[in-house]
Amino acid sequence: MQEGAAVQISADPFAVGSFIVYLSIVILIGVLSARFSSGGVSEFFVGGRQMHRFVVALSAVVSGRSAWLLLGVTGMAYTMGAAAVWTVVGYITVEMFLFLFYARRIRHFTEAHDCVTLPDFFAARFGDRSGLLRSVLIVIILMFMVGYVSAQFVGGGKAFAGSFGMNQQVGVAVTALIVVLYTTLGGFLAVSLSDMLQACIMIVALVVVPTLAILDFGGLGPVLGQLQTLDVTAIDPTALSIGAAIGAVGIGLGSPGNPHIIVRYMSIADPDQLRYSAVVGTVWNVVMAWGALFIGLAGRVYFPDTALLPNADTEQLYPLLAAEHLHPVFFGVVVASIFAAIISTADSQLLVAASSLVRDLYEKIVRRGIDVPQKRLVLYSRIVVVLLVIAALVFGLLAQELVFWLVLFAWAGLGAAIGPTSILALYWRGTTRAGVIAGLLTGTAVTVIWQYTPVLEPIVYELVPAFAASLVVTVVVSRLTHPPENLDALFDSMLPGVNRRP
Amino acid sequence: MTAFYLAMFALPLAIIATAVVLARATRRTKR
Repeated sequence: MQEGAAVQISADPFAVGSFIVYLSIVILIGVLSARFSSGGVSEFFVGGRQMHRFVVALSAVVSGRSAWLLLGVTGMAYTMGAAAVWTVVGYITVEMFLFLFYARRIRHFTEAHDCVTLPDFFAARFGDRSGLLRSVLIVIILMFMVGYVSAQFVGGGKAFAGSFGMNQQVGVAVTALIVVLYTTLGGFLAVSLSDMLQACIMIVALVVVPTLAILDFGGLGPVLGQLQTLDVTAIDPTALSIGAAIGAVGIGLGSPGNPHIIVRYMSIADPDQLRYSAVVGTVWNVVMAWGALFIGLAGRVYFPDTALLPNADTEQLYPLLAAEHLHPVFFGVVVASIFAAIISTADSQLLVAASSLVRDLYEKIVRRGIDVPQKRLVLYSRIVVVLLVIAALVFGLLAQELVFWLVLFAWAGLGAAIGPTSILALYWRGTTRAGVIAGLLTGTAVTVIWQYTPVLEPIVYELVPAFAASLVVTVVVSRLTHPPENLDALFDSMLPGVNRRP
Repeated sequence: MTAFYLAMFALPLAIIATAVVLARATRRTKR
C-alpha cells in the first residue's frame, strides 16, 4: 500500500510539544519492555506467546494499516466519494474471519511445534528437512519487507519534515532512530504495546477530525447537500465499475499473507480469547476506516477542487483539514496519528525481517542441529534489527525507485504468495510441500506479471488474479505429489488442548 | 441517498454485528 506524502503545514510549539510527549512514551515502552524481551527468541519475536487479547486485537489491526489508511483512503474518498467504501470492506471482513478461525489454528499449531516465525510454521507443517521451503519464504519475506520498511521510513520522514518544517532527510533519520530504539530494546512486546498506544491515537484522530469538520459545516445534512451539488456520484457508493469494486474488496486478500499481521495471532496468551480480539479488532477497523471515509467526504466540501490542496495532492487532505479545525495541541495528535500509522507498520515488518534472518536463516539453516544459547540469539536479533534499519535507510536513499517498486507489490505479492498457501496448509490435508513452493512462486510471479501487462492491469487489482492462481497451482501440484505422513497428528495440533509434537 | 446511508451507516454496523454473532457462535461450539 502506498505511503504518505509531504504535509507542509508549519510547526506550532503546542503541536510539537504534544508530538514529543507521544514519542517519549513510545521510547519509554521500549525501555520498559527490554528485560522481558531479552529472555529468548520466542520473547523477542513473538512476545513469549503471552500477549493479552486486547493487545493482539489492536496490534494486528494497526500493523496492517500504514499511512495508506490515513492519507490514501481519505484521498480516495475525496476523489471517488462514497464508492471508496469498497476499499475498506474487504480487509475488515477478511481480518474478522482470520481472528475467528485462521488465527486460532495457527496459534495452537505454532505453540505445539515451538514455531516463532511463519517459515517455522510452514517448515513444521510440511517436514521441510532440506530447508528449501524455508529458504523460498526467507527470500520472499526479506525482499518485500526490507523495501516495505524503507518506504515507511521515507513516508514517516515526509510526514515529520512537512509537518514541522524540517529537512526531509533529517525526518527520515529521526523516524528510523525512534523505531530502532524501541524495537531493538523491547522487541515484540514493545512493538505490540506501542501499537496499542498508536491504535488509540489513530482512532481518536479519525473520529474527532471528521466529526468537527462535519459539525463546523452545519451537520451531515448540509455536507451531503453540498456534495450532491458538487458531484452527484460523490454520495453514490455504487459509482464504480465491477472490476474496480472486485479489486477494492480484493485488497482484503492481502491480510492472510502479510507475516507482520499473522505473527500477531501467534502471540496471544490464550487462543480461546481470539474471539474477543475479533470483536475489538473489527470495531477498531470499522471506526478507523469509516472515519477516514468521512474525512474524504467532508474534505471535498471544504476543498471542492484539488487545486486548493497543497501540491494538488489528495493525500494532504487529512492534515490540512485537521489544521483548520483543531487546536494546535490536537493537531500535534493528528500528526502523531500519521506517524503512528507509519511506525506501527514499520516496527512489525522490521521484526519479521529480523526473525527471518536470525531464526530462519541463522538458527534453522546455518546452525542447524547446533544448540545456540537463547541470550546470544537475542543479541544477534538486536544487532540484525539495527543492521536492517541501516539497510532500509541506505536502500531508501540510494534506490528509492526500487523501494517504491517493491512496495507497489509488497501487499499484493505477500498476500498472493503466503495467503492461499497458509490457508490451505491450515485447512486442507492434501496440501504438500511441493504444492506450497509452487504456490508461493506463482503468487509472487503473477502479481508482478499482471501489473506489467497493459491489457490485464486495468481489469482488476493484481492481488485478485494472483491469489486465485496461487490457490489453483498449490492445489494442482499438491494433487500430483504426496502430503506428509503424520497428517492426523499435525492436524490434531491445530486444535485446542493438543499441545504435543507429532 | 438510501444507498449512501446503507453503505456509510448500516454496513459498518452490520460488520460489527456479524463479528459479535460469530464470536458468540464460536464460543458455543467450543463448549
